[in-house]
Amino acid sequence: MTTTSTPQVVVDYLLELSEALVGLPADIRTEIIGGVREELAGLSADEAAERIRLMGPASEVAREARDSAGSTEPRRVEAPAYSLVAALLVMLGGLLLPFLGWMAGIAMMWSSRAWTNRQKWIATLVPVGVAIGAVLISTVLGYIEMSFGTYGMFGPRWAAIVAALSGIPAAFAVGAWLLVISRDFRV
Amino acid sequence: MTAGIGSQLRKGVVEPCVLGLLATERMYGWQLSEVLIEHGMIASIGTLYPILSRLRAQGLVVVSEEASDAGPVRKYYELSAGGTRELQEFRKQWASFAPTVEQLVGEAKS
Repeated sequence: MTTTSTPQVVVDYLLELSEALVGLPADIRTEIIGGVREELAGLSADEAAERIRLMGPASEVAREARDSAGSTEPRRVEAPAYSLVAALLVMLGGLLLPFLGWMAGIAMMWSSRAWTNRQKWIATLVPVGVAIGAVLISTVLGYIEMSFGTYGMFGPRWAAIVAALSGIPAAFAVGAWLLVISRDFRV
Repeated sequence: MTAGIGSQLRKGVVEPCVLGLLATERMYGWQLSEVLIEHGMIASIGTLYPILSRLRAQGLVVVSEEASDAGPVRKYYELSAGGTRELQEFRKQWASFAPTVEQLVGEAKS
């Protein structure tokens, strides 16, 4: 069966592979990515997922390629503790030092090679999106309260508290997710 | 000493094995990797492409692209004239090398 659009599973795998192959000579990297892309082209999502399963994790393909190419491991420029600290700061940094602690975790996460760019974008935007969404809902509820002539817990004055109350659990969940998917701790 | 013996042996012969496979027919990457993995010569497709890259750089293998109606554009690898000569040379050396190793190592006693 052939499809015209590229399944997400293929896009994700190629991205992951591309990042995992950083440091290999450009011609070998191009050759591997081209070969894998060629092999996954035109497959349905299910077929591609099965083919990817047969190929093995991108990190493993890259490790084999390094071994075969005789190149050293250039990726290990950071200790696994670096990504651990980054994920923990994303989880808890906001509690230690409001906002700035979380920002430090996000900055460390972006400089780490333990996650793909897509995963980093998700980890950055989800807590922000949750906080903004909560503030918007709170604001709307505040205006509804005002229309009834009452002033309760909702409204623009509470924006910072609402953002913190919603953003902190979201950041905690995202940090935990980063720990689970980190390349450094994957078995 | 036992750890890695198989790996070292494979590393020594995997390139001639690729040449041997391409001597039978031109093949694309996945096709080659399937056969080599099946025979335990490589661990994954990641091992194959650096080998193909080296063989290309040495002029032993040439590449051509071919579009198909049903599938993707395939990159086919085939032996060059130099690759054919290299394979013949390896066969000649292997024919004397393998029995010599067997003789020195000694056959397993059951």
